[in-house]
Amino acid sequence: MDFKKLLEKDFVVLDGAMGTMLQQSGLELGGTPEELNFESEELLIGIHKKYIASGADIIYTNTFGANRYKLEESKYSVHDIINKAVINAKKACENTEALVALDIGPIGQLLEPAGSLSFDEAYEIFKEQVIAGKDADLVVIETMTDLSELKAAVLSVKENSDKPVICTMTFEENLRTFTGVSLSGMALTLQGLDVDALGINCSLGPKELYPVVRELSKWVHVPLVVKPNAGLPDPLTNAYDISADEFVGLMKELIPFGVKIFGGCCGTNADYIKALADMLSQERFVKIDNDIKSAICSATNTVVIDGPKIIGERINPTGKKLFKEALLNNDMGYILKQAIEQVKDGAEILDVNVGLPGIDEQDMMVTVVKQLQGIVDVPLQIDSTIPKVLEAALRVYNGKAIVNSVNGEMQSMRKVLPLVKKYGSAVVGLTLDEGGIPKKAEDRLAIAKKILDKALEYGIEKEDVYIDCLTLTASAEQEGVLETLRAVKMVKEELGLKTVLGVSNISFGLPNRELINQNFLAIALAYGLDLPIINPNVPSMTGAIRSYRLLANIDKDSREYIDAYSQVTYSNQMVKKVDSAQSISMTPAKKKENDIDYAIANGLKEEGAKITKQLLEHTDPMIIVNEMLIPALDDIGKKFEAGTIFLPQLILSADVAKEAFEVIKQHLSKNDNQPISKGKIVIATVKGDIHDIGKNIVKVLLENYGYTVIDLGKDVPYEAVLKAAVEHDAKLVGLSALMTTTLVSMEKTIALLRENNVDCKVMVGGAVLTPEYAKEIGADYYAKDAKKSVDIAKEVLG
Amino acid sequence: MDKEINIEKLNREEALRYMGIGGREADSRLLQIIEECEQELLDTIRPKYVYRVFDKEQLRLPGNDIRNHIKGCEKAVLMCATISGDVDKLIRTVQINDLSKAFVLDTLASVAVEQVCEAVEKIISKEMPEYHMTWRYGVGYGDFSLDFQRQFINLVNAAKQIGVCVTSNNILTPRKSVTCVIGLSKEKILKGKRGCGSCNMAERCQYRKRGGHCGF
Repeated sequence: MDFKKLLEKDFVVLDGAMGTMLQQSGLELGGTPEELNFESEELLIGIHKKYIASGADIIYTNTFGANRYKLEESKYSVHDIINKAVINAKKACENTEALVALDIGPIGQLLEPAGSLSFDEAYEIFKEQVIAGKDADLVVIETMTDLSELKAAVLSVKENSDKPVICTMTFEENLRTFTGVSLSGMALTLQGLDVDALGINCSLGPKELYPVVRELSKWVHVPLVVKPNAGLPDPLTNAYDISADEFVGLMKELIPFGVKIFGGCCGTNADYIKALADMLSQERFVKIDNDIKSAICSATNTVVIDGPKIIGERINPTGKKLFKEALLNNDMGYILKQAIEQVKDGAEILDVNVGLPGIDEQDMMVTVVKQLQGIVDVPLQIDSTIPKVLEAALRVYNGKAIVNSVNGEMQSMRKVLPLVKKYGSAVVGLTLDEGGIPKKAEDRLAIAKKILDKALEYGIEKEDVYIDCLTLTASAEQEGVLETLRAVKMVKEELGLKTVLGVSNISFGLPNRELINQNFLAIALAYGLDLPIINPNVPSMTGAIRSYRLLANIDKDSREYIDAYSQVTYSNQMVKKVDSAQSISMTPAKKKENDIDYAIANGLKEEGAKITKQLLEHTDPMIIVNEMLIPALDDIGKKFEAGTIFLPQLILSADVAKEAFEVIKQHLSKNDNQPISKGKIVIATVKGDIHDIGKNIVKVLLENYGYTVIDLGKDVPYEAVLKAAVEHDAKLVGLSALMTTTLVSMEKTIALLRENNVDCKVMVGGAVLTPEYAKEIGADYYAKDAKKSVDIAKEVLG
Repeated sequence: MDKEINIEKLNREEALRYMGIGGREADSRLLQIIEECEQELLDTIRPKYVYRVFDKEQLRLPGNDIRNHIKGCEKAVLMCATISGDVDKLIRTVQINDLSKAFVLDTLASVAVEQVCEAVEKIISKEMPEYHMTWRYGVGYGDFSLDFQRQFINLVNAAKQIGVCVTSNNILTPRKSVTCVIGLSKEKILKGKRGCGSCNMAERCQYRKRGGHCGF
């Protein structure tokens, strides 16, 4: 018997809980249950046998927590425990047809950005388990709440074993996991990764899982698994609240949703499984035929391409000086800001391109993708010409992404399409090949067809192939515009594929570009464009799409349109209200309200930016910085030191100054001037520590004073600090730690800098530090607060 | 869990105190930001908790301070509460454009999780009316070492029940989560001293430097 064969049956029965059976055998719980594989071998084999005798087709090994992290203090190794557990389970299966599933549960630590475990570390932990359990008949990954962790586990199975893999996650009544993963997100991502069955375990009882299974069944094409608890636990006694009969009655109601594989989790025992198997033997499997949807997702947000969806184009350095500078300085804040602004204005997917000579594109892409997933929930389109960059990003991407792009050249298809298949993404196919971009629409259609055929050959679904018919610049190739549009229509109608177009290119070299862009976009939508790549911060562009959705009867009852535009008036009113509240309530003004120092002192961000813009019309930027902004900040700093204002007010002021600086920076960049910098400072929250708000306050203040801050973020390895200090030739390094447990990382980072004779001063700060301790660990300066760090910077860098 | 916790309002005075400000010293701009943040936070938090009651003999808690704390008690409750990970994401996102707002959100979130703890305390007290309760003693306070964090989470099964985990440096995730111990006694409990003397932060405490107290 193997898993594939087993699936020919109407239903597959899994076992019930191991813990519940152990408890009922009178075993005192506590300690590490996985050690029982050695210490209560016979008992375990007996339990497995009971489940098999009750009708279980598959039993799970007693290895739920058998990972490196959870077994840290065990006298047994991961390998020994898993190996033994598989042997025990196999023994129980002797002379039966039952299969053994290697059971893998969560590691017990959250992955970044929520925790500090990296994707690669998680992968290695799972890989060790998979290899140790190679003799099992299949692998089951269960009780997961984080899709990223689950993906690391699935890849570790796929890359180190040829066994089938079942994945189940734990959901709450709000149809989400603890980390917010949606049912559609789970289904799209896992099916992309080609798992053999997926579903839900643990979480709740079968009654509470009814709506969860109903929703999940709409998204699933592989066998669907349900392995619920025996109801809900009593917090005092920890006993579960439904009987075997009730359990089975409720499970029966899930059959119409196409569930194929049934089992029990916490609180269920052999009686439940027996009753379950008996019930199922009287029922027939109900096959659900879902259409495969063109859809992509992040862990928390699914975008179905059932009408035009907006892809934001701004995360791309091409032709953008400030963006390039941000990449060179590792200025994540700048890049992330582009993301937030686009999403706020209506982007539903974000294109991510960080290709720039002089940087490690792969490293940068991985960093940016990880950071973006930490702050926005729209799906990402990974945009690179280098396959290994695509692969690195697809690995850590938490969801189902779009790859941008493949083209009709044989070499491109051979390199890119296997990645698309392996990581289960969608792909943009450009209608060009060895012969360049064909002039005629018919020829572009032919390339699209070629790409589609090749994709199908690799096992990629048709619904996951999106075609870009390529926008040509109207000023250069005016006759090509309508060919592009014709090609869009043909691809859509003749191949039935979704279409993509970069829109902004059309107007290159023409005056009033926005007008051309908007009209081209409106026409393209009418020709069948599904995924316009645009700048969503231009209202006329998002407006064209919203109005198309309304006119094409996609936006039913004009709901989205009204939402989008009534909101504008609404928020304007809000802004007005806020403004008036401010002007009334401000502390008595000694200074005039249109002074920059007034705006800084009173935390008026928008005012600050506006005043700076006005000042720039007739004042030298350096004068604004040195004679206006910095004295205003100094004044605030003095008040903070004197205790007349407090940290929140200091941050408010710093935020205004930051805004003013942004305006100046843009002005300088527009006029091709060098940006202002008084020197570079590297700052980081040390390894192991994930508190970064204090460090970020320091960063803003230092930037206010004109220093270029290389911010390495939080949980930063010692070597990364060393590397940045050397690479940027920084004369000052600032380290932050908030926990007594991470101070040792601070000490080690400093030691590493000293060992390598880096010519820099080190300042340290954080709640648990004292001046004495700072000295002890070899720091040059102790910054008791953010203001002090500026004083130190002045002393070191001038 | 039918005993759900709903926080409808945050203790602003407490928040201001966390920020190092007395109510009178907050200007209207700050108060306005607090008001905006409060609503956003209340819309984002998802309070969850888990607790387990142990006979004292079953537990081996490290450190003199915690043992003193539950001296004379027959039982002890291990409790873990969180406002969940969405708040972490909100703060991460807001931080990029608006540090002052992020700072306020962060402070309010700390207040919120304390309020959740208070609410759980009430639930426990209702469940076990025959017992008197000590105040909540946090892991990491006094000589109750943070190294106990991982074992604590395992004892109450917090990862599976409410999604709270520990990093390898003993930091709880989601960030705004709390682990603490409450002693239970059928006899009336002399409320132990919550003084600075038993606190390992005493030397560095910002409240103390200003002549105040953290309120714990």
